[in-house]
Amino acid sequence: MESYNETLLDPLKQGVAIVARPIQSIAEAPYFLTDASIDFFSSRNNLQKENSILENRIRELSYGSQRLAAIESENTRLRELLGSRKRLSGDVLVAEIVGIDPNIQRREVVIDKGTVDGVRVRQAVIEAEGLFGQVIATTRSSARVLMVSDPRHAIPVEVVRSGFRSIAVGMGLSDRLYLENVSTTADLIIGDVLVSSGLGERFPRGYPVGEVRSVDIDPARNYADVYTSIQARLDTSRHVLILFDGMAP
Amino acid sequence: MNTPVRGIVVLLILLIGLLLTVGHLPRVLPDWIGWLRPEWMVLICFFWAIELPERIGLVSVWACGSVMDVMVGDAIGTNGACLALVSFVGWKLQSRVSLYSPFQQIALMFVISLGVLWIKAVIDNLFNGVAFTTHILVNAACTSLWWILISRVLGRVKTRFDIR
Repeated sequence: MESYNETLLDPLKQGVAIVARPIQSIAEAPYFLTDASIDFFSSRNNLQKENSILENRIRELSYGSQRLAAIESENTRLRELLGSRKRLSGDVLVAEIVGIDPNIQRREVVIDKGTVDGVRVRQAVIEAEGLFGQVIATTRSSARVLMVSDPRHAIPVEVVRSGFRSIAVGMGLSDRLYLENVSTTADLIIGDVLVSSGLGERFPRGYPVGEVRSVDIDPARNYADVYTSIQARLDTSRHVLILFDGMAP
Repeated sequence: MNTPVRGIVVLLILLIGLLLTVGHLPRVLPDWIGWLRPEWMVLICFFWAIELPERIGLVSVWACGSVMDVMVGDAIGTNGACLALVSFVGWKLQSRVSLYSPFQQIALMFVISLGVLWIKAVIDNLFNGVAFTTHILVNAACTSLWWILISRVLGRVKTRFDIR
C-alpha cells in the first residue's frame, strides 16, 4: 500500500524492490538508448547551435540569479524585521526519472534517489520549468513521485498578479489543471501566472505551477470553471529536483 | 532438453511478462492506447497454470505478483492475490480449456481478466483514491483478444523446449 504511515510491510517492500529495480531499468532501457543514440548522432552543427543557445541561457540565468540574490537578502532582512522565518530554502537534490507508471489512470514516476539519499515521503519535487509533484513512497534506492497532473493531486496556488488563492487539482492530463471552487467574481484573467502559495506547508511558496488558460462562467452556477496549463515539462523531462525545504539532504 | 533449461525458459517468460507490464508506451502516443494494453501476467500465468499445473505453484505466482506490486506501486499483495486467483481458476479448468473453442476461450479470458481488473480497481480506489472507471471493460476485452495469440506463441515455446 502506498500509505504514508506504513511500517509493517516496509521490510518486505524494500526486499522486493531489490529484485524489481533491475527489471524496471531494463524496461526503461529502450528509451534511454533512444535518447543516447540521438545525442550521439547529433551533427556538429546542431551541437554548436545548442551550445550557443545554452551559453545565452546561462548568461540570462546568471543575470537573473544575481538580481535574485539581492532580492532574497533584502527579503530575508525584511522578514527578520517582521519576525517571520525565511521561506525558501536552496537545498535540492538532482534525481533522474528511471520509470514511468504504465497505468494511465495514475501519473506517477520512479526516480533514482531513495532513503539512502535522504529522500522522504511528502517532499516537493520540481523541474527546471516548474512544480513537478511530490514524493509518495520511498525505497532505499528509489522513490515514487506523484505528478501534479494526477487526479489525486491537489496543490494550493495563488495568482501572482492579484494574490487570489485557490487549489489546483490534476485532471489526468499532462497539460491541464483545474482550479477548484473559484467564485464567478474571482479576479482571474487568461494568462495569469499561478505559483504555489505555500499553504498546507507541503510545497514551498513561489514555485511556478502554470498559467490560466480559460475561465468559463456559467450564470446558473456558483463556481467558474477555470483551467490552467502546467509549467513543468511532465512528459519530456528526464531530471527533477527534490526540495529539502528546511531539511538536510 | 534438461530440466534446469526448461525452468530457465519458464522464468524467462515470466520475466518478459514483468517487463511488458512495467514498460510504458512512448510518450508521443496518445493516452487512450494505454487502455489497449493487455494484462500480460494474467495471460502468462493462466497459460502456465493450465499447461503446467504441477510446476507453477502459488509461491512463484505470488512472488511475481509482489514484484509487480513494487514496480507499479500497487498495494503489496494485490497482484499476488490476483495472479494466485487466476492460477487457481487455471488449475480447476485445465482439462476443459483445451476442449473449448477459441471463442469460448476468449469469453473465459474476458471473465477472468475482468474479475482481476475489478479487484485491482476496487483496491486502488480504496487505498490509493484512483477513480473507478468503466475502462476496465475495454482493458479486459483487449486482454481476452490477446489470449489466442499468446497461447499460440507460448504453446510453440513449450513444444520447442519440451517443457512438461
